Amino acid sequence: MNNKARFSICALAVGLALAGAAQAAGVKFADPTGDDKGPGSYVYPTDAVYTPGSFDLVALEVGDGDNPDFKVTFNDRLADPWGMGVGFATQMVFIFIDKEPGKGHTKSLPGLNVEFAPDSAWDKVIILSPQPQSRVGAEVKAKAADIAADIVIPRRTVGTGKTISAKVKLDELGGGDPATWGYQVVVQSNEGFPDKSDLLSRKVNEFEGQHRFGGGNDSDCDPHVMDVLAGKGAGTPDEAQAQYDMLKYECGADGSSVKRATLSVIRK
Amino acid sequence: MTMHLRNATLAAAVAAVLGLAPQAGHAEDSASPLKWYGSIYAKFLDGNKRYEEGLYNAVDGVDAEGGGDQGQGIELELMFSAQVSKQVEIGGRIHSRFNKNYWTNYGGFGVPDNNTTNCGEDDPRCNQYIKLRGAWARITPGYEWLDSATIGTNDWGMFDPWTQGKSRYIDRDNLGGVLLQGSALGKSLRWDLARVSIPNYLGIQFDTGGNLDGSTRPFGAGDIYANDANWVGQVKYQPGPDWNTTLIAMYAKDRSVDEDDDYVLDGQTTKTAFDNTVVGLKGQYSGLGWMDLSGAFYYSDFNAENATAGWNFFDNAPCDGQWAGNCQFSPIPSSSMDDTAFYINFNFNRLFIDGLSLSAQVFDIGSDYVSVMATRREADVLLTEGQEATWMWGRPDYNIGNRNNRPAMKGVGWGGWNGEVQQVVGSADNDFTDFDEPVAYQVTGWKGVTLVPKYNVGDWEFAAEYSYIDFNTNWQACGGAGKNDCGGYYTNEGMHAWGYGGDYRSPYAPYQDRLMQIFALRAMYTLDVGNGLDLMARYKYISDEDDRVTDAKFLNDAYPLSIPSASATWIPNPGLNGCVECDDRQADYDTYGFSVGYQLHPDLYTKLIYELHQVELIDGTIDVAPVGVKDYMMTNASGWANYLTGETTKNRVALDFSYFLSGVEFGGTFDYFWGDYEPTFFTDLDGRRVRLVPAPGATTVATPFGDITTGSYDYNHYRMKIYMKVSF
Repeated sequence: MNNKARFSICALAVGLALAGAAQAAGVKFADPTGDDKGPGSYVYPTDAVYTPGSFDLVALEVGDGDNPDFKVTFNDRLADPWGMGVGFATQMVFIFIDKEPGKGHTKSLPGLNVEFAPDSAWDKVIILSPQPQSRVGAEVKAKAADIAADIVIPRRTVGTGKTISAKVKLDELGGGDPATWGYQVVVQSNEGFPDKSDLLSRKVNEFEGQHRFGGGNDSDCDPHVMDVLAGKGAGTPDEAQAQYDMLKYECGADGSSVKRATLSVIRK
Repeated sequence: MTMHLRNATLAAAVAAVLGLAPQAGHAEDSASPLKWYGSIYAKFLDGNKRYEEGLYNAVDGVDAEGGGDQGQGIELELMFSAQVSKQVEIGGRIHSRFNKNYWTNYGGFGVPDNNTTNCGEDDPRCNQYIKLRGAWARITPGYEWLDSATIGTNDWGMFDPWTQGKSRYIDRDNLGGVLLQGSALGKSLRWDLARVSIPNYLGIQFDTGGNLDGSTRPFGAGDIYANDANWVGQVKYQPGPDWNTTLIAMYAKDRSVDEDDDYVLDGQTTKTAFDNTVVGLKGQYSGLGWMDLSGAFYYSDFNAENATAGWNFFDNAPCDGQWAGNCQFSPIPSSSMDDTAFYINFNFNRLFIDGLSLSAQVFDIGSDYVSVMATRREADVLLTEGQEATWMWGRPDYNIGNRNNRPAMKGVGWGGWNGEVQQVVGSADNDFTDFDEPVAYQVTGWKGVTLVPKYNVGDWEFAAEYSYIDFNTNWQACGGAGKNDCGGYYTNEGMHAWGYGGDYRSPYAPYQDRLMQIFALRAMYTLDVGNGLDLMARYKYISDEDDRVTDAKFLNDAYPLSIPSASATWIPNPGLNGCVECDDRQADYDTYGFSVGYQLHPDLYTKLIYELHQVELIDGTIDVAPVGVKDYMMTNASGWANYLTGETTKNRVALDFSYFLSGVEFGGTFDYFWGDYEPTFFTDLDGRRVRLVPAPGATTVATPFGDITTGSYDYNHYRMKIYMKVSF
């Protein structure tokens, strides 16, 4: 093959890229850096794949149109050490959407160990996972069948730079204007070998391990959440404390839950 | 017996064996039941190589251990863990071995004759035996200065692929050691300290045991190796979200008995066969917002003076210091050396417009950078996607291939690997992998720059790469007077890490002046039809040039009169008649790939793939053979060196699928390759390399690799892998 042909292929690719339409802005929330500690005490697993900042939520952007983008940005470059093939591997994100205040689910998904306040009950949740859609779907069927109709798994989720993104058809979310909805983003870690009751999420224990978070409780009374949106979703430093307060929990001596961490959604 | 009772009984038995059974009443409040979990994994292989070997690749492994493409096998993996008390947690894994457990073997039934090599009931390759693959205890004493101590097997993933890398040889947790972990300053400072046992194959000549009495001992069974270890420690400091730094250091030592110490009444003194110190400093800064900066710098010092000072190794003789000499097969050098390695990453997460990012990496890995315990697979130390996996270990083989040619014919085959290429600084190892998995490639000596822009817009995803790769291993006789000044470097099977026709773990050559450039484009688009069609197109071009001998004074050393030849009629051309450009090697790789993926059913995803791979290669004139090549390498006994000059075309049509139900995953690949190889020939004319047109009627051209037929050759390769994995 000669160089002329090789340059032609390059030019074609550049042309296609430039032909792409610009995406109009929708709604955006920010989150402070350094609050990837759950209720304030959580620490990362000790394996080197869990790089600093990789579960530190920085922003949520929701596009507009019939097929809006959902983009979640972190405070670390995404990496794919496990060969998932979609540009990221260790993160897993749940975007809870409250379309109608006061209606919807107050319990969350299996393994997260959080609840939602009644006025923040969610209607739809989008799962951004590096696992194939079929795998996530099979887990949902097995572990969250009762709310499966409200769980949306994008056909393709990709990580580029620091941002995980996916497109979701508005119809799958029941229509409406995404700019008016309330949102909560729950940052978890993709666990390929989850516990029987967990939806592909990684556990938080008292002591951190090579592949589990630390700083929590060995029972399932603690929120298995590393970072969420808090306050007004503006990214101000005080929102870190607002997050820690929101994720406060209480365990009984036998490991039972005395007080569940309770989340609220954020609206613009 | 109910399942519950059976599990409890098993738990008690395992705990008792491990000596970890709690005393009655001990720590009842915090103890948790023993958890059992695991998987059933079945693999189905078929292919037109028709080798009934182990159910995975074994490119350079022990004969009859791998390289098969036929049969079905099923294995059981059983894992357990328990919180013995608040301070003690244990875990472990037992696993059956795949190898040649075809369902037709009946577990070796019918061949119970105490023969461990005939695939009978006494042959562990075929009798479905189960063994302990890993066991560990983790102690969390609650001290302020110590978070935990883990004793037992581990994959050592908390460290670093440039120093103490993640280990996987058959299993991830074969490697044992003691790991202490602690923290301070509210967990903003964390430290790890470990003593990791060195596998007995990670020594000079794949052996950490030296001979005491001069007798020849089998592989890995030298006099002492059981206490050989790598001490590794790291301190990580992360004062805030904007920056963090890690200091890491290791010291590995291979100790062997001092055979000069004849007086045993005061104990036996030892000698150090090798020791290896590596110190590294890593850091990351992300406070700028528009760009993140990260990097690492390593210094290694490797001392192996005893290897060439009368110390007996693998074949009962000191390393002879010859290029491709008696210490050529080795994962580490046999001479002392030190060097540095570094990389700096610049990540622009939003470059001018939304959706456009750019990653840039500058890297330099010294030719003499040695880390005995660096990762050998399943890690990638560079940003570049590297070369194409389909050409790894591949050779035309038409001239010398036959069914008994194990290394060439029983390896991965003409199709090569389908997965990505992972760059490693340890001695790359790809045995016990499948063709659909990544392939590791050793990049010791690489230096250059890589740019990777990515652009997501609308339903389009674009990615590209440009890499400019120079080599610290570009040298003439390694800076000495002749090829044997390279005698401290290993060659292994491939004589050179060339890509097509080379080896993935032979980064050294006595004469090299190489430059490689990689250019890749990839576009993905989701077409909104039905459940959505995932379309992908890619193009990749690699230019790989090596002028090898660049000074005429070395030509006779590189190409002496005594080059072995597999041809009865080839006439050596010592010193290439003074033609410096006659050994220049040029390879142009073009790859085009297209795929269409579709979610046929909520549980089933399928992908249809077409790839076209082309290589135009000039491997010097017909007088050129790899420097130091031995005659057996060009014969049916090994086939490691092939005649490669010509044009190779390889087409691939494949169907991939994945199918998930709750708790079970099925996946598979059906591959069909076809293509051809058309040899071309070059000779020297008045000191210049010119195309050689065979005389009319000539059917062969004599070369050191044999009499090469002038016609083209057709190839095809069919292979299939389907697997099932049930997790429970």
